[in-house]
Amino acid sequence: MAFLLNQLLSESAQRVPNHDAVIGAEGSLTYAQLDSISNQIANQLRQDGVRAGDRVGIFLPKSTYSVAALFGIQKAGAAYVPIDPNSPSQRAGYILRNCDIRGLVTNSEKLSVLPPDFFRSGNVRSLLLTDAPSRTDIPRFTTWEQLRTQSKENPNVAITDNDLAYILYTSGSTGEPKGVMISHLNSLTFVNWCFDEFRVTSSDKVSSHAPFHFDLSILDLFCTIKAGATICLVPNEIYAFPVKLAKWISEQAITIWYSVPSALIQLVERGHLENNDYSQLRTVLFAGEVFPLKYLRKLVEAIPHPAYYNLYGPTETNVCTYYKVQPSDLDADRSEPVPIGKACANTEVIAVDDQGTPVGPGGEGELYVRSSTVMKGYWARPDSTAKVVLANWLKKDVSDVLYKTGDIVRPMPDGNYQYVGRRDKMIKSRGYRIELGEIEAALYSHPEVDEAAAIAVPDEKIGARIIAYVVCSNGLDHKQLHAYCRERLPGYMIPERFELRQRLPKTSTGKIDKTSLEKEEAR
Amino acid sequence: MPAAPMIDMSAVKKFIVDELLYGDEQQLGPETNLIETGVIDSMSLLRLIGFLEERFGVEVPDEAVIPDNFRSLKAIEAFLTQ
Repeated sequence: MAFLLNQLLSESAQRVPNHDAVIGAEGSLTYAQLDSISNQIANQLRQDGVRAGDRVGIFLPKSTYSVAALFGIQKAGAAYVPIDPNSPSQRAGYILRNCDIRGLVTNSEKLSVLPPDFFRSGNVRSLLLTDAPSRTDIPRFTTWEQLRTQSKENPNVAITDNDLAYILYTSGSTGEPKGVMISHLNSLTFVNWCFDEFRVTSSDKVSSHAPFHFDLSILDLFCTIKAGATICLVPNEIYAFPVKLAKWISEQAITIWYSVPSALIQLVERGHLENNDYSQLRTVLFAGEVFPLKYLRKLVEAIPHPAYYNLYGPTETNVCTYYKVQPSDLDADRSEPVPIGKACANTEVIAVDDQGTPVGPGGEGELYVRSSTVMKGYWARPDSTAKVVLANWLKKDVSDVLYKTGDIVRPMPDGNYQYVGRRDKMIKSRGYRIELGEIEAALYSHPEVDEAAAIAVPDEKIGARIIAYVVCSNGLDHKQLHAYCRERLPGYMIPERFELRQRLPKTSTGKIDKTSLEKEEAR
Repeated sequence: MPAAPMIDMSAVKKFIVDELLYGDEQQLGPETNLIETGVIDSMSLLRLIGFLEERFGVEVPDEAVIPDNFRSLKAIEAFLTQ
């Protein structure tokens, strides 16, 4: 019985060695191939000095290389840290340094994005490149080609399911991203649940739409590998092109699709789904944001036969509730989004009021999660961890924790939960979590920015659009502010518009009056 | 799509520089890959299409929204003048 994610690969490689494990734009890898290349990666990392418990970064476009890398890193006993391949230099550098990476898998193009002093200041012992390097100031490295001489034996590093499997960075309100630490047990608890619930088999072809730094990717990767099924990587070139993406799903004969609703909205609005055959598609999963009912209705009308599921859960717990969409949910007279549903296996969810008392149907409360999926904490941020991973006051006799989601929910008489909104200022855009405070902190870090406020304007197709209101002391224009943000923030966090003002409205307590700015935008 | 007689590509470049890429003008050559570099994503592509439709009075049908027509400034020009 596998107790580590990477053992899922070893087991499937025994069972279905010649089956395709992953298909990407650059080719495919069978289970036997993926297993042996990931063993070679693990052996190289170990030879270079990477040890159990270390962190190894992956800074690559999504590809069969990055899939091999993440299994290789885990087989070395280390945790993989996926960096958004479009991440600006400063953010990528911050994340890699923040978790003190000891190894990095990247390519020559991404290498050139890293800050010049990166290799001088860090403790990086191992550098693996999928191609030949373009810069000369880097230390010892190994190319993919050179990996061929490595042993193909699994090093079988002795770690436990309590050790870290990966760290996913999410937006932090103080201006710095937070690393969510997930153990093998945390992740396997979820993976085993979805494997059972969706009855994934070796004949399934599962889409991989979400980037690897986004936790939706965990189902695509590990649930598929557990089943001996095939991961189908959406080619990077067609993400933004709905007609192409719609055709790809049909041509690849995808059986299980998983993405944020905004990707599905693009497909149903502009993908001309009626031109393609989706008879193979049996399950459509969505998560990460609210799916406005009118678009879900259109999607189900266009492709009626698959089972549709709404999955819910923050990165800190992965999916903790799920709901199978019923025909009656889509009735023309309904407009409320479908519920987030009931707890997954081996998981308990509780809505509690401000006094910490569980609320029943008819009430409203914050959702707390009790499960083996609850993260190990935020990397090097015990203060932030202590605010959300709390001793379970409802079970005083045993050591137990609850994760505080910050999401307000309504328990319903049938046992399902309905999502209501956020407790704090966190917003979602295209399924990405965004702390407006992180955007404001980036703006304030500019010496000529005196005041800054980022506000979110609700948008039914992507969740929210971000507008920045800024007061500058010295003739900065919107282009300069945009360029400055591009160096510091990922694309989905960059404000769509910068409003330059002489002053910003204030509340009676002297704070920037964001409510009045929001009203201004709504007009 | 009706053929547009004259396409002012400097206006397209200006839109991409000012509204999508903002400022990195030197880096934007006629063959710079806008998709690989992340300049074009699902949101910015919609804004670019909106701009092209408004500025040049063309209609960009969904079927024409494919990588071959938007990969670079050169590709956009070829698409608009076809």
